[in-house]
Amino acid sequence: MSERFILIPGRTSKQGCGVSEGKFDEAYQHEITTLQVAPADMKRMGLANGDRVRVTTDTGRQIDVAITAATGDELPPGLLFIAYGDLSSQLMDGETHGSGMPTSKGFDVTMEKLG
Amino acid sequence: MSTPAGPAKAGHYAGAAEAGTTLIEDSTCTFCGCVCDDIDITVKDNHIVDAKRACVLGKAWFYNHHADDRPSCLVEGRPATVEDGVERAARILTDAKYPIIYGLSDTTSEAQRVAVGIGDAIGGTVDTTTSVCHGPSGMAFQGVGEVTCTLGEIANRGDLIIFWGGNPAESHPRHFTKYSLMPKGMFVPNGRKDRTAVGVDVRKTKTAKAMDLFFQIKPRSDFEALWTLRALAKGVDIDPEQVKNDTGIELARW
Repeated sequence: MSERFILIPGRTSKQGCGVSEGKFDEAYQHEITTLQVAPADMKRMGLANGDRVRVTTDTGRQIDVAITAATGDELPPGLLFIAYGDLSSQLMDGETHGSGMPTSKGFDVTMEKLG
Repeated sequence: MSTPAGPAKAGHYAGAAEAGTTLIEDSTCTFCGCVCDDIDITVKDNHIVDAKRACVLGKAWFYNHHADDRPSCLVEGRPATVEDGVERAARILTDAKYPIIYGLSDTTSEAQRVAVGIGDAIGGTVDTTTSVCHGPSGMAFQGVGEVTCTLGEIANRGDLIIFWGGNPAESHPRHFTKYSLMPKGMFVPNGRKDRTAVGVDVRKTKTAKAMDLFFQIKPRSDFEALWTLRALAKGVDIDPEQVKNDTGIELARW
């Protein structure tokens, strides 16, 4: 079962520290390879912390990633969040809308449970 | 709190806190755009061992930057004098057909000025890493201009602070305490009590918790939200139902 979402990559404190402490360190790698999902969306899709999902953008870019429940009510249903890093960069496409800046936030995606 | 707009004293060396260490007061952190210039650095054996007043991002940045003993200049991979390096760089640049000077994001303003001068002299193009992030902002600056001010002005004058789609609580951790919310400034003598903080975002981030008012708008309704505010400011009649549908926020709250 796959559902439509909007994915917002962004900065976090741990991601920011990891940039200085080492991008191959476990803390940084964990932060940038964990997708945050609203608890209500997890419940509806039968997802648990640590499950892996496949996220595919409308332009065909794809990542497989582990999920975790977003803290409290930080994310409204329908919205996903991931810290900036290798995985979020893999979803960026070449389209810049004439601005010189490829879209890096607000990806239209489908998310499906793996395994 | 020290005056945010006050002169930096970077490079001012004070007495060592303990034997074998050097204390460098009022160092500048260039990790984020806050560029805090009040960090007291303790150096031991060429390693930064303390960064007083730095935030979590600043500490991670300082603790992982150390003096290194690599040669300051290499030519063909071999150590060279700076004079030889400059000579070689000048030859490469003047021989280039269409040089592009790129980078400069962690470079001082003085060095950027020199880079632009060199680009001018050799008929090159200057671009920065900022283009791949703030490209649209740069185009807007050139097209319609920019309303801006310094963090010092915000600290001393800002009585209505709006954070729209930003999360400084995580990305600029000292923004609230040193610049925008807590400081007692010239025209906001009571600090936080004299300021109204408003947040607008699709996510209820850590920043939202520090706001007096928070508007969790529907994703991709920023334009409608801004136009609602514009209409209200202009006294234009707007449909409450449409505002609620478009932005996810009751008209009465705007």
